[in-house]
Amino acid sequence: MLWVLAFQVALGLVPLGHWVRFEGLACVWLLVCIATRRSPLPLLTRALLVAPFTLAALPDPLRLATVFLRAWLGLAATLWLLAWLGRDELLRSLERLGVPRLLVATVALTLRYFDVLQAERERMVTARLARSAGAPPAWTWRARVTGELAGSLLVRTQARAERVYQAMASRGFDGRPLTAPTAPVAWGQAAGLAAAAALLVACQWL
Amino acid sequence: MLALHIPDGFLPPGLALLGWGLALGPLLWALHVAGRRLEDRTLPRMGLLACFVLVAQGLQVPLPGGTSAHLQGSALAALALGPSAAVVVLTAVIGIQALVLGDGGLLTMGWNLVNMALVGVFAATLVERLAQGLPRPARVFGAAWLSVELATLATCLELAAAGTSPLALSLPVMLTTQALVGLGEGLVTLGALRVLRV
Repeated sequence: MLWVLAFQVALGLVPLGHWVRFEGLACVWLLVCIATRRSPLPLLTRALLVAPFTLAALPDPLRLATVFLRAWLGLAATLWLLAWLGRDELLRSLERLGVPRLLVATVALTLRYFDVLQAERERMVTARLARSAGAPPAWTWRARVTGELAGSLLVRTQARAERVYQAMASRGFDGRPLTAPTAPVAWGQAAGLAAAAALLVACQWL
Repeated sequence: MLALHIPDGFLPPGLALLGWGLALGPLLWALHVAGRRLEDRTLPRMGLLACFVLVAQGLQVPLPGGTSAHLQGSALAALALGPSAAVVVLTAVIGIQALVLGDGGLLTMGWNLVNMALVGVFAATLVERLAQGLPRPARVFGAAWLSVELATLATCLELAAAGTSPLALSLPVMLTTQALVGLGEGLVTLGALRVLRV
């Protein structure tokens, strides 16, 4: 994670229109992808999500292109991080970095139940659509109904939180956030990331 | 919603780190308050509520003209949970959006926290408390609408300070469109709090 942050800093330090340095940084990232056996193409494709936001840098085309490259490569690096570490190791990395345990545990629970709540939301939206046949009502009515749907989802979420607590308590949970033990970073990984960091620094001379 | 999540690359590193500096203090305060009141149920509640905000942000809020937007959720979290819990919940949400969903940057997360977890939450809380003379629906609606507008204003100022987007361009476009989004946010927040009877 520290390497990705360093990569973001390196991208941010690239002056406007300094394409050679962007090429150098992109090559470093590609090397990291190859070393960690992660295909760069899907990551770069998905990172194109950021393209519409770069319109904020209009009307200066040089600034637009520079901001786009920074954002695109930056997001590709973040997506690589998740692809390489996976969710569980990502959470352990956050803890190693000193992120408060309460926050890490909250994130872990959120990820654990995200798919469950998302499915519940979809069922509620489908039920609402099934009951809304006929002429489209005013947007104010639909907005209010969406709000009531959100409120119902929140009530169900609170009930689910109570059930989750009961399940945790029955397994010995006493209120203190617990996370899995973190293993030290492997030698090879540390050496590889140090080399990648050194390459980032070297790119500053491009 | 026109996302207020600033991606990486939009702010220079120094300015991005300033955002982290501003966000860190209030975040640690919120964690301290939440931790002090830590009872058995706190962690599962906060985890599931952060999950709710993340999922609820996927709800399409209808707007005039046949368009729609996504719920921001700062006002709903603030008025339903209180400001300190809302800050922790929204921090978890913004963190997941950046790390897992690729929505918003890592270096720029400090400013995203400032805009949505702090400005959004505290603006909603203050407006709701200060406007006690108004009927509750008006207070809640106003709190939600203002939380969206003030978070947008903060985003525009940061982008201008970075030289990425001049205020003359961003302010009229973003404040106008987010004003519409705020209408939806207000109605949805009102509806949700009515169901909760909060």
